[in-house]
Amino acid sequence: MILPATQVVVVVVFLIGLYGVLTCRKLIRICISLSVMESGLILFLVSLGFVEGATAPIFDPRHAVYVDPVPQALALTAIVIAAGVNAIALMLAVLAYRHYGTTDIREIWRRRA
Amino acid sequence: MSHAPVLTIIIPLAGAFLITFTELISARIRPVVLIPVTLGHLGAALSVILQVVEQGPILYTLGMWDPPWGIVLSIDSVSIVFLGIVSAGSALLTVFAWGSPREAGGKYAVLRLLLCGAMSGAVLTGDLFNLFVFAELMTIAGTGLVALKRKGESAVAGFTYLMFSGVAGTFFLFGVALLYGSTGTLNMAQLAQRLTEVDPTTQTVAFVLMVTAFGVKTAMVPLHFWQPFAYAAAGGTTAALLSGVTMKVNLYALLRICYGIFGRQAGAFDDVLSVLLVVGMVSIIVGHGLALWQDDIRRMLAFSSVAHVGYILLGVAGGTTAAVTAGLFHAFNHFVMKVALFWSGRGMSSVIGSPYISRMNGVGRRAPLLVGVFFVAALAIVGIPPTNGFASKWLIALSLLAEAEIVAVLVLMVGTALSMMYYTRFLSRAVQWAPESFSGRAVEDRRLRAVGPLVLLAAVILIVGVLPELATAFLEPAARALLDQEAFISNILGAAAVQ
Repeated sequence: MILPATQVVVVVVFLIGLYGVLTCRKLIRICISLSVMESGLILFLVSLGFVEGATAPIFDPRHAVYVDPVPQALALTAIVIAAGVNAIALMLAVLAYRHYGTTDIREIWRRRA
Repeated sequence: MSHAPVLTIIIPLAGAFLITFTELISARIRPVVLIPVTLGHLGAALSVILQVVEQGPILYTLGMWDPPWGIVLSIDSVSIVFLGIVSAGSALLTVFAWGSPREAGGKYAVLRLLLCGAMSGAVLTGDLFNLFVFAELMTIAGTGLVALKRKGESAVAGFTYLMFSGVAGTFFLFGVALLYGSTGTLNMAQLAQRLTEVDPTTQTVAFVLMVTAFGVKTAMVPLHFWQPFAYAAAGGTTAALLSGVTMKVNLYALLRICYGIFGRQAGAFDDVLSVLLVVGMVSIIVGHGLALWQDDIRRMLAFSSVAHVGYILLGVAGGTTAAVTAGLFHAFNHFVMKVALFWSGRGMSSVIGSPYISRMNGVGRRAPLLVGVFFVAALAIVGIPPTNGFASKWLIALSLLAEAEIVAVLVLMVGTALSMMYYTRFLSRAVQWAPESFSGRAVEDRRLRAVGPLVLLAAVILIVGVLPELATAFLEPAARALLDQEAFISNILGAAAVQ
């Protein structure tokens, strides 16, 4: 069950990140925007498995209702992948900065031409 | 149960892992790992392909957990076509890279094997989240290959590639999460079955998100900006793999999503197919049009790849068996032709010492064999008989005519004329008499490891061109399997699930 408020937050965070990726000119800010997008997505994944009043999905006779464990596993995997992608992106941003002396993507395009 | 399916994924990944350690000891013991791994992957892929051809689709349950609880590999006649492309492409690249000075290094071998493992996984998996993970692994290995030269330019190209694919990956995962939220499953077949429970808006949003994601990764216009940049930075040897093989795997994922998971029952299915058809036409014109202006041979070939995604889409988005067969045929042919073009182009630029077409006057005198292979592959990619490119373009045109898509046929003809212009322009420079180009002493590399793969590809181009039935015998069952959603579901969940 997904609360309407969660849906709104997820969509807003995701779109803020997408806007950032599309409009930012600094490489580092593009990386930040991508991780904002991914945060929205991970929030969505976690909220998918949420069940009101349920406990962690570990079998225990005292509880009857558990949250869905699959989205949590997906969220964990997504976090790991996002961390890897961000690490590589930041490394490439550093390499580009060392070579061109700037992280502004337009400035880099101008120097290449 | 034969374990060959999972071995096609494990062997290259294990090889990549081992080579990072053998590199620490000595570069000389690398072949001890690399040769068995390459042969092992070829052998495993071949045994999977033979098994599917002889006995029909395979379901491999990982850890013996039956679907829908466990993760499965589902292999049918579509998967084996693309598995064949992955395996042949990776093995050929291993041989060709051995003969090239820079790409022979250990880091390249590690990234190549990672990419090979990820691509094998992506074409075999029957689980949507696994597809996401393999697609991300393909992105990361691909970024490594693009950025490995460590010059500023390749860092920026790698960054662009990573960002486009990364954003595409989040789009895809968003679509997967939407479907999971409504159906509670990630198994492709079960998703296809429960799709009717999803409300139409969610369905359409998820469908569009997923198609866009793989549209970016296959570099369809207008989502192609990263591609020429990335291929030029990767260099011809690696770009051949990215264009010839990785692009096909992303295309496979796109087709599976369209036909396997959503299928005709999805509300937006017909709209998405007609959009893909239009995108295909635009890609042909824009790709060929931009290729005309390129002086860098790698960028020219990269833009030609954009156009050829368009041709493949004109086929596979047709929706009939004949059209999809033609599209898959062109996908296979594009793999053979583009790899041959990139590698012969790579050889010529190392003879001349520059990748610029304007400096390649008279390269044919110093590299007759390379120019010969390039000539054969250019004939094929333009679509002149008796080559495989002609056969598949002809089939695409016939299937379009059967559907009365006159505009698409016209676009196909205009595209052919445009591509004729820029390949002729290059070849006329390459064979002209140019005494000034004889000052350098570099000649073409005639060692077997450099020439062998090229000659093999040229031979495939001509043989399949003369006898297209050799390929269509495999591809027609593949097209039928792709369009038959019930067969896809019953392979994964058992025949009882379809009723």
